[in-house]
Amino acid sequence: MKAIRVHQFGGPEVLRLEDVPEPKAGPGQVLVRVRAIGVNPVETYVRSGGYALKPALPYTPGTDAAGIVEATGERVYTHGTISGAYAELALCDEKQVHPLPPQVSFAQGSALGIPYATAFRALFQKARVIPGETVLVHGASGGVGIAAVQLARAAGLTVIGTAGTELGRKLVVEQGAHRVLDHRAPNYLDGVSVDVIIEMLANANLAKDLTVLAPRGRVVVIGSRGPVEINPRDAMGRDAAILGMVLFNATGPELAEAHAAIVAGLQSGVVRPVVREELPLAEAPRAHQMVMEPGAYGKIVLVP
Amino acid sequence: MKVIEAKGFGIENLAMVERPEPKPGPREVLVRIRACSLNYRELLILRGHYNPKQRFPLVPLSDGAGEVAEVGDGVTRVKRGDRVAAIFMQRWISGAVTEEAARSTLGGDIDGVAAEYVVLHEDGLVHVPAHLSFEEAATLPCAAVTAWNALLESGRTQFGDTVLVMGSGGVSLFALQFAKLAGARVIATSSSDAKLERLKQLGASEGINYRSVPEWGERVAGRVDHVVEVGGAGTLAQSLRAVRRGGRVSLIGVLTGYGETNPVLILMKSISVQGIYVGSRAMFETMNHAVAANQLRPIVDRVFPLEQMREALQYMESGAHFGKIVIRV
Repeated sequence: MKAIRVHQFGGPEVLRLEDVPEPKAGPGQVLVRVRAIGVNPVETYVRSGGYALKPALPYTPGTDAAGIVEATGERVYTHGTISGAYAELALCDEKQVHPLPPQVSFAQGSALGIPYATAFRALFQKARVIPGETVLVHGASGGVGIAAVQLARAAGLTVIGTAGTELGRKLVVEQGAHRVLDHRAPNYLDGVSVDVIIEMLANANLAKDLTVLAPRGRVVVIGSRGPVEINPRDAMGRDAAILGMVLFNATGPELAEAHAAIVAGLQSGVVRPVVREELPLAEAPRAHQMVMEPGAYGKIVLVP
Repeated sequence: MKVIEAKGFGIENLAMVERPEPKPGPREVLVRIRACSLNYRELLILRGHYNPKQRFPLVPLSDGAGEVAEVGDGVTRVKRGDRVAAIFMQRWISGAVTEEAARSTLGGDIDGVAAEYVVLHEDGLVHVPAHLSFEEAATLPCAAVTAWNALLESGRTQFGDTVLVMGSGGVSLFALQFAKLAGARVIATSSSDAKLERLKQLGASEGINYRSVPEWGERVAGRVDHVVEVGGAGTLAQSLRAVRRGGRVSLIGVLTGYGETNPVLILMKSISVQGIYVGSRAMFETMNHAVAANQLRPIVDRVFPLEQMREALQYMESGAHFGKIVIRV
C-alpha cells in the first residue's frame, strides 16, 4: 500500500510517498481503509524534530483518518492509529475508532480527532464552562477554532471569535459566533470582557488575554510558538487561572468522554467540520505548508 | 393591600384579607409583587406534610417577582423601580447551605409573597432578566433554581451528556431547558402521549410513556448520566436502573410520596444520589445570567388572578398542567 514515510526529521520535503507492506489487524485491533486524512499543525512540529514527541524513524505521520473498517464495512473516524494515518490503510486499536454517521463525509470525519477533542477538552475538561459564560476563541477559523465555536455555542455560551481575514471572519460567524474580531487590527480586544479564552498562540496573546478576563476567568493555552512575558498581577486581581494542556496528556476515560460527546454532536448536527481543501496524499508536503500559513479557513485534508 | 392568608392546614383555610401596607426598615426593601408562581411544596405545606408544627396565619408562596416600590436606609443592592424576584431561602447567599439558611424559606418558615406588597431584606432579592415578563420571572425562584442547582452546580451537566427528566412540572421543564442549553441530550417521561409530544417540541429527543412502559428504567438502562428525580419513592427504583454506572440522581421531589427504596444499586453502580433543596442567591444570579444570555423563556401554563388562589392550587393538584402555574397580583 501507499503511505507517507519520514526517514529523517526536517522540512515538508521529508514527507515521501512510498510503498510499504499492508498492516494486519491482531486481537483488539481494526484495519481501516482510509478515505480521508486530517492534517494538523502538530504533525508539522513532530516532522521538524523540534517537538517533545519524537517517534522512532522511519514513521508514518498522522492520527486523524476517516474510512471503512476492512472487516465489517463500518464507517468510522479515528483519533489515533498504531501504524500512522497518512496511508491507504491504518491499523488502529479498537478504542481509537468511532462511528461516523452517514450524513458526515469522510473528509469531515478526518477533521474530528485532534481538533474536536482538543476543543472539547479545553472547554469542558479544563475551563469547565457553564451556560451563560462568555468565551473568546483566538484563531476561530482554524480546525480547533471552528470546533470550539460550534461546541461552545451548543453549550449555551456567548461566543466571540477572532480571525485575520474577511473570509475567515465570515466563516466564524457562520459557525455560530455571536461576535467576531479581526486579530490583525490594533487594540482589537479593547472593551472585551470574557470568562474563558481558548488560546492557540499564547506567545503573542497571553499577556493581553489576562487583562480582558472577568473575575474567576480562565485561559486555556492549547498552542504557543515561543516564550512570553506576563504580569502575574493581572491574574491575581481576577482570581484567574492559566490552564495549559496538550491533548496527548488526556487519559483514556477523558478521551472516551470527549469522543462520546463528539459522536452525539455528529448525530444531533452540532458538530459540522468545515473542509477547506482536499489534496492527494502525494501532496502531503504542500498540505504541511498550508496548515501553518496564517488565514486559516477550515480543514486541510489528504485523500489517498 | 390585599394579602392571601392561610389560617390553618387545608386549601379551604386560605382567604384573601386586607392588611396595611408594610414599611421597609433599615436595609429592607418594599416590593410591589406583580406575579407569583405555585410549587407543589405549597400543597405539601397546606397538608402539613412539610412541617406538622407550621405556625398560622401564614402568607403562602415562595415565588414572587415585582418592582421595588421603596427602599429603607442603607439599601445599596437595589433601587426604586428595579425588577426583582425574592430568593427562596432568604439567608442562603452563597456557598453551601447552612442550618440558618434552611430555616429562612419564604411561605414556610417566614411569610411568603402572596400579597400586593412585601418587605424583604435587600440580600434576599435578585434582579430578573430584562427579557422576561413578571409572570415569567415569578417562575424562577424555586423550580428553576432547583433545576439549575441539580444540573449545573451540584452536578456538572455538559455537552454530550444524557439527562432524564420526569413529567411536565416546573422543575422538570426547567431541567429540560437547562440540559438542552448545556448541550445535553434529554429523555423525558410522562403518562400522557400528548405531553410527550410537547416535551419533544421543547427539545427532548426521546419520550417514554411510563404508563405503557412501567419498567422504563430498563428501557434506557445505562444510557443516562443524570436523572432529575421528582417522583420520590415511587420512581426512584426505576431511576436507579436508568442511570449509568457512576452516574448521578438528583433527588428533588417526592410527588409519588414516601416509602422504602432498595439502596443496593446505589453502591453497586457507584451512583451519586444528591438531595437538592433549591439553591443559593449566587446560583440564582448565575442562572439568570445564562437565561438572559440565551433569551430562554420559562414555560407558563396558565395565569390565575390573586383571588383565585384556591382554584389555582386545585388545578395544580389535578396534574393537568404543563409548566408553571402563575398568579397575577
